[in-house]
Amino acid sequence: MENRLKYHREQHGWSQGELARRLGVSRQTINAVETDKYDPSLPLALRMAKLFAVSVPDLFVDHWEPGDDDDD
Amino acid sequence: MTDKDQRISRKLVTIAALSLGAGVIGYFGGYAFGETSVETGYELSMSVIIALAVAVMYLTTAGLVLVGTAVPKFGENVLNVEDAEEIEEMRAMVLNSAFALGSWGAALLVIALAEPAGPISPLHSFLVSAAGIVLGCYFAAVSYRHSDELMMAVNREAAVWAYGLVFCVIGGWAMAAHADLLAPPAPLDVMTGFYALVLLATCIAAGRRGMLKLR
Repeated sequence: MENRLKYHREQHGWSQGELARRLGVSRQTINAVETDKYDPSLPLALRMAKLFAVSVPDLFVDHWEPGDDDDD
Repeated sequence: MTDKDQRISRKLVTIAALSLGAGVIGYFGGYAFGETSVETGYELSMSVIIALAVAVMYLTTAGLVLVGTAVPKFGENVLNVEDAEEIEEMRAMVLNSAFALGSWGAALLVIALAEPAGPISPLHSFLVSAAGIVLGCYFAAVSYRHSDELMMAVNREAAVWAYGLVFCVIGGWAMAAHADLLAPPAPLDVMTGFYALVLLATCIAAGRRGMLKLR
């Protein structure tokens, strides 16, 4: 899933370590999310959105639209 | 060359030097043990040699992580972290994980060295080995409790991969042996298989999350 975590983090001038500390996770988690290797849990996604004062869909972009999975 | 490139280059050189050193020590250690075996009459089968190699791999990794955690300035050059501070942040998880690896490695080493392959009586070997496995599980559980959600996810994925690999490799070997296509695995081979496949599963799970890329 595409995300804008790195953009928001850099906007705040935080390192990955600083963001990790604020969220109570490891730097590896931040790195894995930013490089699209890991989709965070819903509680962590909500915490990230709250920290950057944005909504979850502003932070994590899903291009799925209703009807995309329909066969016809 | 950026700071990050320099850090990664330094890490690669350190790891290569340590691997070379461990290889040389392992070679001469193995040679010396082989010589002793000839004199004492120990029966070193291929199963035992492979089990010992896997056990030493666990013990070496545990030792490296322990030293790296105890001396973070050294650890930042051998562990996959950005700096010494990151080791401090993950200290509880990493330390317990190293204790678990060490306990499991020692357990395999001791069971592999049961008579007639080594000097330890089978009963003592079994008891010490079983204690090592239980102790390892305890440390692994403590490490898991100190893990954040990414590490927990990697642990769960590694368990799934390990199950699949064990089913395919050990199960496949047993099937082929039952059909008289291969010699059946020795009990120690099954044990070594668990160890090696769990290690492989962990590498696969970590690699899929980009955690094997040097930082």
